[in-house]
Amino acid sequence: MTKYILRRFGFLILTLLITSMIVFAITQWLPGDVARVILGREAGEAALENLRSELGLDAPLPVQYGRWAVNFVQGDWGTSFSTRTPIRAVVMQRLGNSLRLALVTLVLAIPLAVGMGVLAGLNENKWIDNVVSISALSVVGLPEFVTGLVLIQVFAATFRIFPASSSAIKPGMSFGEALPFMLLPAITATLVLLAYISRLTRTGVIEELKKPYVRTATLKGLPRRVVIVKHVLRNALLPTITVIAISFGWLIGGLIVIENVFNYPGLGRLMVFAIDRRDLPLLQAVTMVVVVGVVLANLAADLLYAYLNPRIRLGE
Amino acid sequence: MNISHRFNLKNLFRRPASAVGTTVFLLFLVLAIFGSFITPYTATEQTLSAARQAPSAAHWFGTDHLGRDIFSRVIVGTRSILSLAGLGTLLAVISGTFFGLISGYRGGWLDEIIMRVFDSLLAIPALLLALLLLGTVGPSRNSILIVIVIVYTPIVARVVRSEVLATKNRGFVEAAKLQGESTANILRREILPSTLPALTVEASLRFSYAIFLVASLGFLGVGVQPPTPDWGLMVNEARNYVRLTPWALFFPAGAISVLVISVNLMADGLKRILQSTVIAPAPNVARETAPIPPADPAPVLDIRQLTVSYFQGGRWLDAVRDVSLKMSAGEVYGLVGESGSGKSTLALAIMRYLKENGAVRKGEIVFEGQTLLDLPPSAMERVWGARVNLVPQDPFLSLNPSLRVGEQIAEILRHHRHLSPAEARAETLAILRSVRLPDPERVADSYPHQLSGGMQQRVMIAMAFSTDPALLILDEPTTALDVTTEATILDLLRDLMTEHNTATLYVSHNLGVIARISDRVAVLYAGELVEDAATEDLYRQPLHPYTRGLLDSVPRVGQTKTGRKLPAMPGSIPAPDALPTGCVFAPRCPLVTELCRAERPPLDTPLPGRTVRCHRWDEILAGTAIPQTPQPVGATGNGNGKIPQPEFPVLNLDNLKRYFPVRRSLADVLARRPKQWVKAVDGVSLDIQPGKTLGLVGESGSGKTTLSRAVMALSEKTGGEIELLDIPLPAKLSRRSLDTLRQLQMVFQSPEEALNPYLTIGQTLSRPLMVLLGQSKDEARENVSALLRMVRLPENFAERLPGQLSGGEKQRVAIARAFAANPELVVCDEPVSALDVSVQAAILNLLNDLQHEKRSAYLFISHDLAVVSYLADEIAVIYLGQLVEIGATEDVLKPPFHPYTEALLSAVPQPDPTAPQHTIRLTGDIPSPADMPRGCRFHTRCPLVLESLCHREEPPWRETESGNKIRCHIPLPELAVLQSGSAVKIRNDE
Repeated sequence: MTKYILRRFGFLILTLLITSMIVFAITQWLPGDVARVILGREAGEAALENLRSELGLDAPLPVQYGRWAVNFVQGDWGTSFSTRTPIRAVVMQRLGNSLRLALVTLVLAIPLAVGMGVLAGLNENKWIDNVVSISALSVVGLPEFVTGLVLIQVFAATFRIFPASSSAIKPGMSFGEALPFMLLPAITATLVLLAYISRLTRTGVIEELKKPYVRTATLKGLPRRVVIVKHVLRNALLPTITVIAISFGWLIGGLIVIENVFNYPGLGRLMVFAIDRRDLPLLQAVTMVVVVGVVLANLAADLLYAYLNPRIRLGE
Repeated sequence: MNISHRFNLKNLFRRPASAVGTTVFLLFLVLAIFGSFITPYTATEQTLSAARQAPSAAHWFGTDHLGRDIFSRVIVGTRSILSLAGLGTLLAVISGTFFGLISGYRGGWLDEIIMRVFDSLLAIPALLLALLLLGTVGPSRNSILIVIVIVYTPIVARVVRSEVLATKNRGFVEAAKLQGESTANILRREILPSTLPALTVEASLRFSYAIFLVASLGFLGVGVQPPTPDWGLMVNEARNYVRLTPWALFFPAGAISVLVISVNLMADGLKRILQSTVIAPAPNVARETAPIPPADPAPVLDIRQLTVSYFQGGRWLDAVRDVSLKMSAGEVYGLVGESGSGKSTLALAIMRYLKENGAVRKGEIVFEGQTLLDLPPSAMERVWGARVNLVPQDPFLSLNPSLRVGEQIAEILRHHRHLSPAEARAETLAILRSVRLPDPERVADSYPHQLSGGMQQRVMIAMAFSTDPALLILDEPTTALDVTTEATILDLLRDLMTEHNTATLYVSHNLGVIARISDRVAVLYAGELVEDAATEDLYRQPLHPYTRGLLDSVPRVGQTKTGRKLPAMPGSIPAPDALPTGCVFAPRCPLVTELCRAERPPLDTPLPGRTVRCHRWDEILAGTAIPQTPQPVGATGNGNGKIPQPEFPVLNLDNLKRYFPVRRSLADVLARRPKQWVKAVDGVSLDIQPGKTLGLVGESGSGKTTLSRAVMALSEKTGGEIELLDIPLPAKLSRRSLDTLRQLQMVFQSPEEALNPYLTIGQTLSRPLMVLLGQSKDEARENVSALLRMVRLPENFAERLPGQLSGGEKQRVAIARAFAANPELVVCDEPVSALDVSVQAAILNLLNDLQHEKRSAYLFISHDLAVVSYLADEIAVIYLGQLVEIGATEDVLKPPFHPYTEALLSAVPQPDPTAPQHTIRLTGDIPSPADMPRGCRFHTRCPLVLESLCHREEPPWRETESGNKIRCHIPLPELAVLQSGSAVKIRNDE
């Protein structure tokens, strides 16, 4: 198990290394001349040259990458091109907001999705399965901005239960104060996750039910309830852990759109803001923060999976 | 279902959901192509005077804040989104397939690099990556396309790669390599078709996500730029005017939703068609029953005229017909049958655990006085586990992988015997001890994967006896185990059955096992019980021609090819949907008459306690009709001396080694710990003479398959020499010449894996002719007929796909392929072990005949000493990567033996209940080659081990008088004395 953890951790470092190179390559190398991006088309050659050496752009690419990576690890994420303020404080504050939203979403979505998936899987091809599957297939098809706008129409405009916009969330607000503004975006994200997780859970349960050990358990004369809970779900829900970790990445992607629908002050809004202003350092920072989050979520899932699965825990 | 039929897209319209999805999608497609012709307005035309109009006859969907006609914009937008998503998906599928193919097929560092980079790309959420790219290069149609390709290539590549990994080691791909096919041809012809089902499903899913992505990008304002009518963009613009023009929001949003949902439904339909095997459950059916006369004394199990059927393709197919059986306490009933005989169906019907599409349509099962088929499911919970238990074939899959073994037994004790947890634990340990498991505490605390196959099956047996049931059903319980393990398990079962006085139904295809264990035997053929008798009577004088044929077609240890040919039954078991009208065995029966073809024989009772279903049993009983398959006259084997003594052997192995490196951790490398090796083949030397057969026997894990793969260069040798006709061969397949490939061919174990399911038999057989012999396509096509005739198959088989052939027929095609280019040496890796007994004999005869005709030599690998001794001129016995004995067949089969050879011989179950039982049994399992025993590798299990010597030193090779070599510390004369009881009767003179 120690070996396994070390290996996973090694992979994590490697993945971060490669992703950081990809992110660096896209933002620093693709646009051609960063200095021109900042100063605009009219800038004179001298000003460009100044800025290039100021930003270290005259150094060879690997050196630039090395500097950027070391600075990033040390917490120096640079200054925003557009707001001229240190990036880290803004990103961290927005990250907090996004994580809160993600947390609320996961709390809503996971029990519901797993429950639906298990129910559908246990009743394969019966009406309850058809209802769950078809509605999952349908909800998965609705982009977040469609569901989000529908929810705003219904719950904010028509019934006025929840606020339509989350822009009222201010730095320093407590979780309780912010919660009402988080509910509509969280429900929107939940709908998407719900469909995704419940379908995969259903597949897991169906696969597991076909395995011979389920026959063994049934033919022991154990009550159906014991067979399902003790034997089937123990194995069927293992892959669901991985699914939830993967859906974390999915959730982040979805949140970019949702935050823009609800004007929620999270990383997604910041990302779109950075793109609008072609604010490359901000873009890099936001992307890397999200990537670290996704990679950590995957690591956590791998470790949890390994811990719960005796074949890995006691293997090697 | 046949694979090519699966791609029939009409099936999409079978299920309502996918039919609706597909129809709607096709409508969108039509709109995308022809939409611009039917739009009433130009999509970008602004008429400010007509701004913000609600839907009306002039503007069906209303107008937006700039007065543009929303209907026209939605229609025109269809083309924009479908073309972007469609083209992007197509490009992503192409590039993903490319990377997946090379990554999976090449493996090694290239695979490692590609997969690491793709994993890292996948760590960036798709939309985030898209935004990042668009944010830096700026939005345009091309950059959106690039984004889709970059975002989805890794996902497609992963899917393709895993399909390639599942396919690349299958027999037909390896056969193509051995035929010298180019890598491009292998990827295109052999591998790509197998990836298509998964790839199609993945492509449809990607398409749906691509639509989603394009719409989301449009909504965020970084996708398609105004004024192009893009659905996402339209939603984004309209949300600011939602109070004033809700329709401007509603219609594009609705269009996106409907399109994506329809594509999802279609993808789901594709997935069901291409990947799942959903069985339609059986409809309810009233069971025909007859009144039950009371029996005296009451048997434990009384099966009366049972007919069990499966509902397939809208009709009932009978898997078991009219079977009656009675079992009393303590009786062991053997149920013999080949695959398709219905034996497992019968066993599961008794357990009341048929598949969803199965049902008992007629008859009655009376168990301990209750009619089992009428019990409600809740009542079955009191029968299962308490009164009747099942031991299945595969113990590993039958144990729950994430529960400790002890708990899996204890839960039965707590539930049925109401023991407290502490009592249950103590009883569990006692039960584990009773099945002779060493260290029961450790076993109880283990998970199934920590136990060997033999130990797992002992655990299953322990469970089965834990509640002292009245009836036990054993369904091929030793088939998955090695012959040495099988022998000890059978000993154990015999003792437990006597001790518990349990009625036992022992289901098996193996006549030897049945002879060893059962009191009575019932023979099933194509769902019918054809003969039923006490074991000794049945084996001494079978009354049904099928029983006789089965017994004749099993080779006995010591029966050699130089004697009588193995009598083989023609044909194979009929499928349940193609049963003959009269006697089910008539098409294969040597005694068939007109009556047999016309009329089903009744179940007769020729002698007390015997039943048989045959029109001619009286003649067979009287000896006036002998049900023996007439054998072709002529040479039966390759008699000695016909081949001139050669100058050099066909194959010479000199100290051949194949080591696998043990994966080292970074810490090991840093600490400079020496590399560890698993020595799968460790210094094997042997010769094969032209036209002769060398049989290689050993348990699984002995290294015999690794050896054959090293010879074929499917796995690269680590050391030593491989010489073909005195010419040293390179270790790598790519370095071997076409001529070498032609001379060295292989027949694989599994006929199911041996042939590419997407190619016709003709296509498969013409490839070696074209590649290895350089024939043109037309020449090859003609010669395919000759090849088919050579393996006794009809010429029209050239047009068939492998799915339409039986296992035996597939193996014949595989043999034809190996012989296509007149090889000098054919390596046969367990070529008959996946076949039924009655088919196996015919294949063995075919191999024998071909050797005689073509003068090819064989390296024949098998775990079955009887099969090897039948076919081989010489036998080599391999244990943990090294030979322990090698010599002429007759010499190897008589003392002195290597102690391992003796144990193998005595473990072979003989199809003769009166055969003397040797009691040489090996304790424990074969050690892992990663943890090789010191000294003699066999010392941990050797019954004759000399404590100090064998533990310390490697044994020397000793030569017997007749010239076979044995590697043992015990001097041969001493061995001969110790083993005098184990001699095998050589029967080459019948």
